[in-house]
Amino acid sequence: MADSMTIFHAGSLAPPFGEAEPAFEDEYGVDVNREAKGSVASTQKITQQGRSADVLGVSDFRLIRNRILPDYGDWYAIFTTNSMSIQYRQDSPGADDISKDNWWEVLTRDDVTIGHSDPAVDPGGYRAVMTQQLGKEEFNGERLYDDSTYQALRDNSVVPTGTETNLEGQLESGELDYVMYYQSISSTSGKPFIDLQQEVDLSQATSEYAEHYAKAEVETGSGTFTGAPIAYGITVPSVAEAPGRGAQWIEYFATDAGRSVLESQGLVPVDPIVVPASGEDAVPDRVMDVASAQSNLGPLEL
Amino acid sequence: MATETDTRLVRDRVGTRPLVVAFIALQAVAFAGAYTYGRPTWYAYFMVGSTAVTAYVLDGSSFTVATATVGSLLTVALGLPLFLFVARQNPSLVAEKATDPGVHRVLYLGVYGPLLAAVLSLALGVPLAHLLAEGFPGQPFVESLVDLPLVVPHSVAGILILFGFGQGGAFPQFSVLGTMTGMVLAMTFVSAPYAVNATRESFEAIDNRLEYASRIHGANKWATFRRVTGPLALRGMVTGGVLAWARAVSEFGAVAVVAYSVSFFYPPDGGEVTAQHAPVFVYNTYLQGGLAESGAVAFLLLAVSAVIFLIVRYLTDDNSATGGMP
Repeated sequence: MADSMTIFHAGSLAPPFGEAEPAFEDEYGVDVNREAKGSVASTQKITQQGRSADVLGVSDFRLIRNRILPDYGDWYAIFTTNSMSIQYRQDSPGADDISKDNWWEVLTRDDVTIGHSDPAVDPGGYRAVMTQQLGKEEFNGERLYDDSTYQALRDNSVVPTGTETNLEGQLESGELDYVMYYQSISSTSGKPFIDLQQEVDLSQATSEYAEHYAKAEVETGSGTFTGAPIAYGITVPSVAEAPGRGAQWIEYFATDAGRSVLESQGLVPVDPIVVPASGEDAVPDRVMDVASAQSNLGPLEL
Repeated sequence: MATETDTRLVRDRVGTRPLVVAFIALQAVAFAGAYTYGRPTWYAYFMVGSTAVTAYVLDGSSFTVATATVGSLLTVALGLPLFLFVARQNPSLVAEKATDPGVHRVLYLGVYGPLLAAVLSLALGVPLAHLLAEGFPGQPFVESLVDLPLVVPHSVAGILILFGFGQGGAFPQFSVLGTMTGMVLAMTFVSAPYAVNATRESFEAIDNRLEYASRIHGANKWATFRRVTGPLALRGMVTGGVLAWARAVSEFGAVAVVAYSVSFFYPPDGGEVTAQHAPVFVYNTYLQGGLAESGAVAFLLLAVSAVIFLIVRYLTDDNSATGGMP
């Protein structure tokens, strides 16, 4: 098999992929080259620039399903999930008061600035807006806050970047008071964070929650996005130069070792990884051995 | 000079302006031909060859032919990718983007923001350049400080600005994130070195005796600058300003971190609008729409910039190329 391999992946996958890289290189004797440019940019590199990668990992499997298949790939796997959370500094305004039970009240105070990334170019961005929307939707007869609170949340929100990886620096600089991004980032950054309610954090891949999440809708310049549980997608594109290596990488994250790396970086792995039943024939054997073919993941159609 | 072949007959008889037009037209035809046949390499050879021949016909000395030929290698390296980019554009897509009001706002901001940064760089940089040209103890430290922003990676520069100014930094009463102030600060950070260095070169090129003569005749330092040194250094200041402006137009990393989108006064609408700096907008268009769409916007940005460069250079170049010493 090839001596080197290339991986394009989302920013939020950089911590687990970076941690797994040395052990993987040692075990399989291959040189891994990662390019962490964001989910959309990584996908565009393959579909627009004609570049080849052996693995593509994105934070929303629908990017692979809609843009990579069928011209640049035949299958994908859902290997991990995540949840939305709120990160802040210890000296953020309201930091002493804020908790899981009153975060919307603190975030809607005057002079509080909430930051999230651009929904038009980053899945993390539209998911942050969905989290805000879901707080005003009833789940089992109860909702967290009313429409005017939601409007106040939107009024306090700004979009200071197109990549969520910039948000942490902007928060630290004092220009943002609270940021909304993935819990995998907030739980591992060393700063205080809020673990949000399941009905707003997009973490539960069950039919009941997914129906609730679908009440959120975000309109952007690049289309309208409907709320859904966060499901990361990964694949070996058809343009890969070292597809065998790509399959090895994906197989790794379906094993205990890979799953513990994901968990240590704040992600929530899927066990076993899920591949769409319609593309089952195209899945490499070593991946199929550790995967389960389904036509849907809870409510999400594959 | 008397030993060189005298080829000025051609130039005197025909006049240079038509020659320039003919040369450019010939290049355009040659490029179009090479591109249509799918052989852009031919055009590269043609550009080098035609430059050498033209230099020989117009001047004749081996020195000029050599410098023209070597120089044309660089213009091939710069020009060929640009010409191919232009040839690849889809005219209907370009027209669509050219009539899009959102694109107009972006182009306006892309010219206006950097203009503010260039003016600020010159306003503060010309005095500094003059001082550097005069010389003072400890000068290397200031020179190094001025050059440092050139090597700072762009997104790091953005973080530096955020931490240095604004809410967490030196001026907590001002917010820099997402503001015009922040954007101009970020642009000035990356482009001021060009303004200072270019202006300083032009101050240093001025003969000291001119200053002494002015002082001897009774002018104080302010008047000397205003009447003698300043006007003589004007072309250097313009070059510095143009370089600073151009550098700010192309700045992506620092502006994306500090001022991802800004609101500003937009005369055609008569009010405040929000837009992104052009490189940020082009990149986002690429992420959302693909290479063709973002290429169309980039083409418009390049076209606007090229026109601005031509106007500035035409207004400020001296005429030695077309009518000065032989």
